[in-house]
Amino acid sequence: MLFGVSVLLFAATAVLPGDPASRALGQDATPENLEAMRRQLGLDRPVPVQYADWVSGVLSGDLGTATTGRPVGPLLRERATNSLILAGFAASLTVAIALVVGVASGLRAGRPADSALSVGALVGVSIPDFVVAGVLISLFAFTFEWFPPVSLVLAGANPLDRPSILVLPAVALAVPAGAWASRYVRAAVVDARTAPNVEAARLAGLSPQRVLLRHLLPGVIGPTAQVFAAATGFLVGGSVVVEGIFAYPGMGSLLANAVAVEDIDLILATGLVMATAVVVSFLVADLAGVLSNPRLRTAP
Amino acid sequence: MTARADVTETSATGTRHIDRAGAITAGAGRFALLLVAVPGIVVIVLAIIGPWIAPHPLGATVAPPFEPPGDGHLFGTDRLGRDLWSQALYGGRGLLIVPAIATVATVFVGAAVGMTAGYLRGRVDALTLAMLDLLLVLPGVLVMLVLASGWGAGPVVIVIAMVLTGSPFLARLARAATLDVSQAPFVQVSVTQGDGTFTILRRDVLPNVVGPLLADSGMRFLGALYLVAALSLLGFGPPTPETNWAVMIRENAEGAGLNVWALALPALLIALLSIAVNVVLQTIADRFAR
Repeated sequence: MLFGVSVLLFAATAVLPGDPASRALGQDATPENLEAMRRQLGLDRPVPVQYADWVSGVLSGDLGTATTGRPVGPLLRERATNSLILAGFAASLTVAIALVVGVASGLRAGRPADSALSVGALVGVSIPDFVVAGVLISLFAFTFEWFPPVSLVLAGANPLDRPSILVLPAVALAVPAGAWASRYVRAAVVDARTAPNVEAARLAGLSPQRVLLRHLLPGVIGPTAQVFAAATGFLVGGSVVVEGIFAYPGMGSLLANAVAVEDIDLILATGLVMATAVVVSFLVADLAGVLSNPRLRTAP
Repeated sequence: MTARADVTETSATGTRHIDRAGAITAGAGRFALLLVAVPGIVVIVLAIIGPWIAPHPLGATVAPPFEPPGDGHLFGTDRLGRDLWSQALYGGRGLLIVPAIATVATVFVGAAVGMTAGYLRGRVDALTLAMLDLLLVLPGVLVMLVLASGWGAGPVVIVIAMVLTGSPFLARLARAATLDVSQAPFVQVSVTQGDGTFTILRRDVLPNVVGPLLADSGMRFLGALYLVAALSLLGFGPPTPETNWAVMIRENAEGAGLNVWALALPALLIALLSIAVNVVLQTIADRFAR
């Protein structure tokens, strides 16, 4: 999977126009030193060789060099840690929103409360995270002044030292993702309500809470785990934009800067880390699906 | 990859829960949907005719920056003292046209790929699924930025990024629906008559696939709008003085304390537009399902 992603990313950067050598030289590019630069950067070799070189570097922990001359690895590690903290916060919020809204809506399917929650969720789905961010900033940063409008983190500092800066970006990311996932949770709850095991538990006289937690929810987690994994994909993509709005020093803003200066090594490494995050969340989703469904545990 | 497919498929045909179309608006009720959709339809119309009815020309400075509403300016002024309402009327088309084109292209490619895979089955299907799963893990913004680093941030890059990252969702839907319908008697009759694969797909399969595709295309439009907006927000937007609602959010966020509409108006317009597109497409899809 990751191998495929890495091939795709590398192929994309190789096919695209734009020559790192002429960019590095800028004004002093003559055909001769252009040729020398290309040789020095290894660009005169066939693309598959370049790819093999890059992959073996990545596997041994060498992610290449940014155009600023700094190695990509340490640069990325700091930003990735920041992004991971924000994304983890946003992801837990997403799961919470999706489960609460989805279950509440699904249990009341067809009643006014379901209709209200469904419209609310539809509105939530339709509002992009940067719009949520704008509304949150104008409300909670400027009108009430509860949270800072920007989420600056000094170099070397840890965002967890000032958790209040994480609140607004995490909420902005989680509202659309959570609303989207809640629609699928609702559908799964509606299905699970009439499942034989849930019917049996209810007829056995178990308390509604016990039926919900022990019998209904496990049947919801399996089918919706994939949805949550896909929501993580939204969070990763959305973090590029939201981090930019809040000036949060994460991977997203790193990628945006890398694109602005056409820094191929940095783009490749950031893209690979982001895709890895999504792949890992799909793996976790598969695991959750297997654990929550006894029938799959014995599958080969 | 294959191991993953084995444990996660929730049915014999390889349809996953995420492939359910229509879940987005389920349970909302027709009247409530209409209630949220009507203002959005007004917004769509305004976005299209906006440049013709705007009271002030694009980019014209008419008053001090961040003036609150009043004094002939319906929503006050923006960062550069431009009439906010006029700027908003100019800023709709860009967010409507490119995403609309991208959505149509995405639906077209997704339907073609999904129907072909679902109809032919076997190796073609397995290979297509593997490719789709690969594209599914790539965030659209990431793909778009990688492409933009080489080709620049133009409309073509947005459409390509959207087709690459959006069509897998639609292809999965189309494939699932095609798997269901391709065993139906009326399709088998066509096969027996010796009709060509393309004819069968277009005449017999397509009408049964359109519903779920339309239902999901609302989300794809949102995705495309997001890509256009993301470019603007990251500073790769249209050249000045051209504007769109995402540019307006980016530029005016700092002045929200002075004139809250500078931030709220474009945010509201984007939200209403997105809601309306989703509801309208879902309603049309429901018509097809019946």
